[in-house]
Amino acid sequence: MRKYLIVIKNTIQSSAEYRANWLISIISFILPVVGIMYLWRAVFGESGQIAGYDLASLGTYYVLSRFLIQAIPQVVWREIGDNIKTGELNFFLLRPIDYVRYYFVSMFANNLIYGLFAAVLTAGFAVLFWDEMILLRSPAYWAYFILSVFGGAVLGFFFGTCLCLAAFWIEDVCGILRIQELVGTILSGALIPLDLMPSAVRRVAGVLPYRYMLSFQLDIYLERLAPAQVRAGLGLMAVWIMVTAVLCRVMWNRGTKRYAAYGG
Amino acid sequence: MAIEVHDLSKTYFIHRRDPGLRGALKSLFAREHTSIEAVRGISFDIAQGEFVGFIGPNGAGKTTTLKMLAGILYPTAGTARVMGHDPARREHDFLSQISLVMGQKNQLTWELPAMEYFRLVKEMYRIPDDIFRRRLDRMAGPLNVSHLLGIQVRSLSLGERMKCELIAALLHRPKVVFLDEPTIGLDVPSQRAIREFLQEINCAEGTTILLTSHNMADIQKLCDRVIMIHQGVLIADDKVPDLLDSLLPYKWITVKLPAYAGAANIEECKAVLRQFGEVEEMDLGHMRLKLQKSVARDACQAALSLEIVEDLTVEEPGLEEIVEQVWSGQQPSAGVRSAAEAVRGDG
Repeated sequence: MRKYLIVIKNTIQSSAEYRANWLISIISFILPVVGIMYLWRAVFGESGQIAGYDLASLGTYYVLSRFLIQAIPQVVWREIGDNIKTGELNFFLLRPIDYVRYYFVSMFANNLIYGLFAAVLTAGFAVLFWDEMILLRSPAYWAYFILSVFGGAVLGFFFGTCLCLAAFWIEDVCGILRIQELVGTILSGALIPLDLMPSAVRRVAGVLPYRYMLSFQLDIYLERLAPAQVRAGLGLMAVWIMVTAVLCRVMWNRGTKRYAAYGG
Repeated sequence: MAIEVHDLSKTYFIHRRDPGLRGALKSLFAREHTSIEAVRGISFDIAQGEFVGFIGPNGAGKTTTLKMLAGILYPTAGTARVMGHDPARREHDFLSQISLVMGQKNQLTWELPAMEYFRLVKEMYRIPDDIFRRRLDRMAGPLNVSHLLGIQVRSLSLGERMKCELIAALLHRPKVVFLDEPTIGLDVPSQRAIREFLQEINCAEGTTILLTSHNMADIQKLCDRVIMIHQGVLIADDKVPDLLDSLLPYKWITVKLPAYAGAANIEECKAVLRQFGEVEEMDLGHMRLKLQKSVARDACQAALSLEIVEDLTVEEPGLEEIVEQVWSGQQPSAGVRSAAEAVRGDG
C-alpha cells in the first residue's frame, strides 16, 4: 500500500511544479461563474422561477458546479490514452504495480488538491454572491452530498479510463474524448440544469453515468430530491461504478494482449 | 537457464497509407492493412550470469524480442521462459527479477528529482531502508551522480539522466537485465562509466545481461557471446572470438616503408608479401595486406626480414566489419550461412 502513498505524494509534488497552470485554473474558474451569474440575474430580474429554480438556487447551482468540476474528473485522463499510443505504458508493464490502481490514486491526489483549491475559491464566490447562495443545513443531506461527490469521482475515473483504454484498439482516443466532453457537458448538467431540458433528454440523462458526475450531487445539495430518490440515485451510481470498473479490468486484460508497445 | 527462447515470433498488423494529404484522406475511407513479421521463429538459450550481445541492423527485431522477453509484448507464436516464468503472464515474481532499460525512453518523472522516483521503486519492490540506501550509494557513486539525485530530472543532461535511469532499473537487483541501446547519444566518458558499471554488476552479482547496441565497442568489450539477428531471423549465435574466427578468418598487416624507399624497394616488398595474401591498398610508404590468420606470423617474419621495412602493425578485424558485411548483404565468409540464406529459410 505504501507504494500508492508515494504515488499520491509524487502527484501532488508534480502538480505543484506548474504555477502557471494554477493561475490559469483560477482564471478559468472565475470567468464563467461571473458571466453566468450576471446572465441569470438578467433572466430572473427581481423575482421569478424557472422549472423550480429561483435565482438563489441557480446561483448556488453554478457556483457549486465549478467546485464539482474540479473535484470530479470530468475531463478524463488523456494521459492513459497517450501512454498507450506512445509506448510510455512499457514502464508500467515492467513494474510490479497495477496501472489502473496507479492512476486511480494519482487521480485521487490530483483531485484532492484541485478540489481543495476549488473549495476555497467557491467559498470566496459564495461570499461575493451571498444573496444568491443557499447553505445546506440538513446533516443527512450533507452526508448524502459528500458520499455522492466521492462516488462521482470514482465513477468519473472508471468511466474516463474505459474511454482511454479504447486506445488499445483505435490508437488515438482524442476524438472519443472530445465527443464525451461535449455530450458530458450537456448530459451532466454542466451547461444548464437537466430540469430545464426536454423530458426525453432528462429521461436519457437519468440513466446515463454523466448525471452522477455533477447534476445528481447538485440536486442533493439543493434538496431537490427526496431521500428515497437520493438512495435510488446512489444505488444506480454504485451500479455504474461496478460496470465501469469491471469493463476497465476486461479492457485492460484484453488490450495488453494486443498492445503494440510502439517506440523505443 | 536464465532465458530460454523457442521458435519465438511476432507479427505486427499495421495500416499502410500513401504519403501526402491525398493518401491521408484516402486512408480515412479505405484503409489498407498489412502485416510485418518483426521476429520469425528465433531460438536461443542464455545461462545465468552470461553477458550476451544482441545485434542486428535497425528494424531487425531486436527491440521486439527484448519487449517479448520483458513481458511487454505478447508473442504471436513460440515460447519464452525467463527465470522459469512465461513473461507474457507478468507475474509478480517474474517482474521482480527482471529489468529493461531503453536508451531512448524515460521512466523517471520529468518534474521531480530522481530520488522521488527511486523511493517509489523502493516501495514497489519492498526494498528495506538499509539495503536501499546501500544499493543506491553503490550505484550512484561509481556513476558519479550522487550529487544530482535531488535535482529535477528535466534539469539533468542526457548522460546524467541515463545514469539515473540505469539506477532506477537496477535498484531492485534484478537477476536478468535487458538493455536496449543504453549508451545511445552519450559522450565517451559517460559511455565508459556505464560500460564499467554493467561489467561490475555482471561480475559481482552474476546478473544475466542481454545487451542491444549499435556500438560494437560496447559489445566487444562487454559480451562473451553475440547473437545476431537480421530481418527477424537469427543468423549467428557464438562466442565473440569464435564468431570473429569463423566469419572473418583474416587479419590486416600494414607495412610502413621510409620516404626514401624507391620503386625497386616497394616492388621487392610487395613480392615478398604477395606470397601470403593480397595487397589491399597502398599509399605513400604504406602497404596493407589482407591475409589468413594462420599465415600472419610467417608474413610478419618475412616482412621484418626486409631491411627497408620501417614499421609493421597487425590488426584483427572487429565486429564492426562483420556487421558491415552482413548488414550490407555481403557473404561474410564461406561455410557460414549468410544472412540472406537464413532469411530465405533455406539455411
